[in-house]
Amino acid sequence: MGHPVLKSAMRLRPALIALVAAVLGLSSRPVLCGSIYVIAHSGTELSQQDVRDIFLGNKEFSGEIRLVPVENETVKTEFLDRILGVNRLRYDNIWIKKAFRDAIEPPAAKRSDSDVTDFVKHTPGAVGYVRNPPGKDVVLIISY
Amino acid sequence: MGMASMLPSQRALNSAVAITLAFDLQPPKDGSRYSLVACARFAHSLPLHRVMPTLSAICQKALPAALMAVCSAMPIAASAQTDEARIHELEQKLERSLQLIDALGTRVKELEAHAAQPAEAQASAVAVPAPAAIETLERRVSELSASANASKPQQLLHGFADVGFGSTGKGGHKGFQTGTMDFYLTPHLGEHVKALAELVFEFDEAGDLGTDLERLQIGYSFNDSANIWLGRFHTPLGQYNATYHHGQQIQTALQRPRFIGFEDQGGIIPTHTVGLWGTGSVPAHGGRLSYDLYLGNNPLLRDGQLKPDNSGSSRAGASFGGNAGYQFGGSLSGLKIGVHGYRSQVVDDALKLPVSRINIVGAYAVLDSEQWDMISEYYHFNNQDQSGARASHDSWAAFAQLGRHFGLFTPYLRLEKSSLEQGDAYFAAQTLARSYTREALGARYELTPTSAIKLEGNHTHALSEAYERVNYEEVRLQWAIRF
Repeated sequence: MGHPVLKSAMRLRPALIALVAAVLGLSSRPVLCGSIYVIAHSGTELSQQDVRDIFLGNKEFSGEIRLVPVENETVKTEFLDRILGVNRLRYDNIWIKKAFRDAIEPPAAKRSDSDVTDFVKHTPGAVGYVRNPPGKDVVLIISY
Repeated sequence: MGMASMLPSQRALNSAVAITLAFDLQPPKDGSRYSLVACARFAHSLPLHRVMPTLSAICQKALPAALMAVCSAMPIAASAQTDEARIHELEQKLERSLQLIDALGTRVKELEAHAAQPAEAQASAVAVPAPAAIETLERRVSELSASANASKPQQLLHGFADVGFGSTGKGGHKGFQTGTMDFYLTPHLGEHVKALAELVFEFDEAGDLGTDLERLQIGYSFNDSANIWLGRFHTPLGQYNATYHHGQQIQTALQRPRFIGFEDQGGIIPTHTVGLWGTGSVPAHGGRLSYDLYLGNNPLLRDGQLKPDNSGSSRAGASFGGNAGYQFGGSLSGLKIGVHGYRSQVVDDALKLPVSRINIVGAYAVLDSEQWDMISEYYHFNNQDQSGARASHDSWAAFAQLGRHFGLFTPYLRLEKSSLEQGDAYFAAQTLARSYTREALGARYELTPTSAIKLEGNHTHALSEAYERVNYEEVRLQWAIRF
């Protein structure tokens, strides 16, 4: 243990730990916290896979009901990252291609949980996501 | 209330109408107080410092006429109140209204404070380490700033535009260039009916402005697996044609592959079809299986170029085709593979005679992921001349493009090759349907989410229009936007 190289290594240990932590920190995804609740208009039945398909423009109907996805700008970045696994740039590109090829409109954007909840509550087929636990006036599809 | 017609003069009419509106808003329970309620309503709409003189004038001029009108419509008790008493009563009503507004405002604040309490309590209950708290705070600030741009009304008109610079060797064009202006509308006309109209303005080789109604299609969606379109649409051959078309901003590369060029730019596949198109997708094994089936007018050959038959003038049967693809899910999300086919009789527009029966089959693969952007397509042609010995000819064309995303920067490489039998009547009749190879190297930078700058250099080795072998280089710069 008295070897000069080992002594030097021991002295550098805190710096090495900090370096490793920094590298790991840089390479990992941003720390995200909090639940996200996917909600739908009363009477709408959807699966977890449906949620992904809806927000990627692959699913427009639930039975005979036209689905109306709605964005929540306060949670959007986290929703895209955690649930859809895409960043904003790619997400926008996916939707613009859908709009251009298949005439499917991208989801409308709302400012807050209350705006999303209000829209979902009053719009048949509406599907949105919120940060706070939803009330009983909408259907909770899944929480992440 | 129907009282205006009963008034004796126009002046009385004007006075009574104002009061009648108030009656409509709040009919009194007691007929004896009709005129007072009407005056009170009028006074509410005026600033306080103007209320008194105005009110006085109204009560002096309008009230008698209104009372006459009301009297002619229903019985009222004779009023013994003086103007001063009326004004006093109106002031009291105004005061009560203001008090009510204050009380409601206070109640709203109480409710807002009550609603905010659980979120605050929840936030305070969680012990968040300092770095995480800072990060959370930063994210919140970012989200809040993003939300400032939210809740915009849905945009009905979309489009693409591009401008740039180009230098093409062997006597090609050199200089600044105006690209394409593309507008498209996607109105939804109810739960199941939708439409798509696309209008393009672009300059031809001679610099003359042309207008094309690229697409005009009206569709009905039964569900996710069954949608039908009627009209003029992008032929769903492969992926590139229907996905990008005139959308310069959404295609990674600066140019389309040469053989998938538009009909009026030397393309050798019919990029538009006028007819009926069925399309849809269903979930399958964690991914989605999609299909396209279509039936349309035969394409035409006019002045050495392919033309979609917009009015059914080819009169010689129909073209038809299909496309089946599988979009993977899970760890292969972003990957799609598929096959496609097409068959039609190509008609000479001037002679109204069939030139060739073309049969196209092929395959494609597309990868659109966070890191990679890849697309590759293959087309095999088996065409039969419709005159002379009715010989059959086999040809093929393909391209492969690979891009890698580095943040906002995407370099890409594309290789193209077509091997077209020049004795084929279908290719011989087209001015630019010649075998070629092209290598392109380019880069794209996302200036904003809706604006990209692209730079591309390519080398082409081709047969010329006169079947001479030529080599040339090209450099292009493009600024493409969408809106």
